Amino acid sequence: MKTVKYMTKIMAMPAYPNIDDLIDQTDAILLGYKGMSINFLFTVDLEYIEHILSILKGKKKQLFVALNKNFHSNELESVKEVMQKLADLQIDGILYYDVAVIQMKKEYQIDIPLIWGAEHLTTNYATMNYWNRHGADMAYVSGEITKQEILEIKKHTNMPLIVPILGHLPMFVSERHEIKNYLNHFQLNGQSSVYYMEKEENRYPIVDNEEGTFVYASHILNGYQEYLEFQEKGIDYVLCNENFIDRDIFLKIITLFHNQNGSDEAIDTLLDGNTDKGFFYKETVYQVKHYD
Amino acid sequence: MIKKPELLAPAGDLERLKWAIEYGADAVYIGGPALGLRANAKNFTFEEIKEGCHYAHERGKRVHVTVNIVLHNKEISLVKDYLIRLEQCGVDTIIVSDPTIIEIAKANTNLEIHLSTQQSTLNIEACRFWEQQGVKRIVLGRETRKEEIKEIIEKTNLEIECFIHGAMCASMSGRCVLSNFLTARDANRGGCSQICRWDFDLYNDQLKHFVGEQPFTFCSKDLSMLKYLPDMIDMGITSFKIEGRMRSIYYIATVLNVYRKVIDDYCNNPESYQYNIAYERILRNCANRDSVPQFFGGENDSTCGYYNGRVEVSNQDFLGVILDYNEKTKYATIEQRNYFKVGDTVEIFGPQLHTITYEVKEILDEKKEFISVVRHPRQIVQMKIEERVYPNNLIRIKKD
Repeated sequence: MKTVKYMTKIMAMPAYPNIDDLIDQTDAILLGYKGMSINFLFTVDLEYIEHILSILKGKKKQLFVALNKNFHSNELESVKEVMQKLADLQIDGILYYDVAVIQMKKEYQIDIPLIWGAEHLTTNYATMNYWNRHGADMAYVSGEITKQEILEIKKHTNMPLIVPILGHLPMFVSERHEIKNYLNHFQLNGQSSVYYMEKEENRYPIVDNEEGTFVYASHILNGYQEYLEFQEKGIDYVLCNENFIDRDIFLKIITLFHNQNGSDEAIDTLLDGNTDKGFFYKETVYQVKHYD
Repeated sequence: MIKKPELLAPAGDLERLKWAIEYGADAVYIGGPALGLRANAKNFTFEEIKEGCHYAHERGKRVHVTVNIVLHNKEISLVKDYLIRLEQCGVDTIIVSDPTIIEIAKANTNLEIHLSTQQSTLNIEACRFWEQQGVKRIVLGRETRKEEIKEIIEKTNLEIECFIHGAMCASMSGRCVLSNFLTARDANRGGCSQICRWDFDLYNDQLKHFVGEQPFTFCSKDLSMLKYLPDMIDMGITSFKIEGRMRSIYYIATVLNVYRKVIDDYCNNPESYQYNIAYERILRNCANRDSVPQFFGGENDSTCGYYNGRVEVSNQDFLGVILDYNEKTKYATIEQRNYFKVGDTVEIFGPQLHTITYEVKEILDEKKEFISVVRHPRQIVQMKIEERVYPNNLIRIKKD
């Protein structure tokens, strides 16, 4: 009997404003909102969302918006307004980190699907189910767990999952302006929008903008092979992150995913060999003594 | 009468728990045998937790246990039994980050639940959510500003805990996995290898290499809220937390001694309270690092960065521990911890004392013979000290 493949959707997180050419190769787009999102190289406003949403809806594609900052109290009123407007526009969901978002959805009865996207904390099925009971509809899975753990989560939760599959994974978020402070302290010139910090021949992209400082993995996660397996296992979405990748190359990669005619090797070649498998097969360690 | 905040101290093991309580902690926080965020610390066995709780409770103090790991699937089934055992040991409170642990604790124990700073809670709405889930206290994110703390205290019934002293993460808590990527050690499960203290080469997008006098680092100065303590007390913050479960007895005793005195002085008589700048020197010397108030007052700028190339030398200020004092002869018996000699000016401090400044005039060894230097680790000596001192008072070198 022939196995029926689950239709895992491809979600793209673009790094550049013009996304028209990406849309045909994806099932969903994830955008950052100006002043309320982090880890996005460009962010958008409501006008842009309204415009792109009409295009996406016409093509039966989905739009998600990330409000994934940790918010301070004086930002909450604006966040609430944006949540309400996004609900009115009927986007497909908001990806959030801060618990305030889920609280405000409940408190102000804002009718919009939420995606629990607490980046590095989304590591087990029990906590996903916890947030499901408290109002989250989907979950973004941490990039620091193994493929087996991801599949186990899928088995034990009814929430649709988004799994990062391609891109420089985020490693560090700070409200501090680490680069600006360093350059000021030593009176150095040569500002740019992206920097690189290097250690032992690994070069990590680092961004210092109005929201703080953000550092990303040196190697690009390349999970093409795993994407094929995730389809078999019913994973709902895979996320391809365009940050620090040229548009032409990203488009070629997304097309390989879309047409399912790629390979790990083909993608590795497109990315100059700078890829790895992230934590799909590498369990992080920590010392916990056995207790009696 | 101003309500005194709880002074909450770290304790890496049973010995340090006892020192912390002796030096004025109202409560201690410790790591148990599993599921905490200092997997490489010594941590407590269940037996030690039981003994620690007994010791603390006899003295009217409380014990909090960190259960602030971010769970992976395989740990879910461990949580229930672990929490029950903690409760059986007499633990008052668990400090939790993962909400699954909150649910399991509520369903199976009567442990008080505090939300860890790992959740980076900064705002009133997030606080309301956790309050509705049965959390009694929130350890706020270290990025929370003064006005935000005030609002949270005014508009919720939560107890609020804030860090007042110690090392700082460069990142927002819970949002750094540098350690995972660079060393495969899981930062959110107790394996943090402190990559933020490493040096890096820094380039711009044109690959111009920035060469400052020191290399690029995320390393931050420590936190010290010494100057702002009266403000924080007036705001009604419930608990003042000192960072550092892996710190030494000397560090814990010194820091507690200073903050205990400041809290007591201000609360007992706020009108006549005066800031004592000498405490800054004491705190700086004991950690051998600079400290600043970080985010409390607003913007965090380059003055908070630590660009010293990590040249700190190990601290040898801690000279000895008083073991005994003979009131008739006025001789104190001392166990040496670092080299000292006749002619040194030292300070003796402890919970019962105002700090005594004292010039070492004579030293007797165990055979009651005069010696001029104390150079052997843990060497037992005697010194004549006119003012009454007490067992477990500590001696440090006096620096200008």
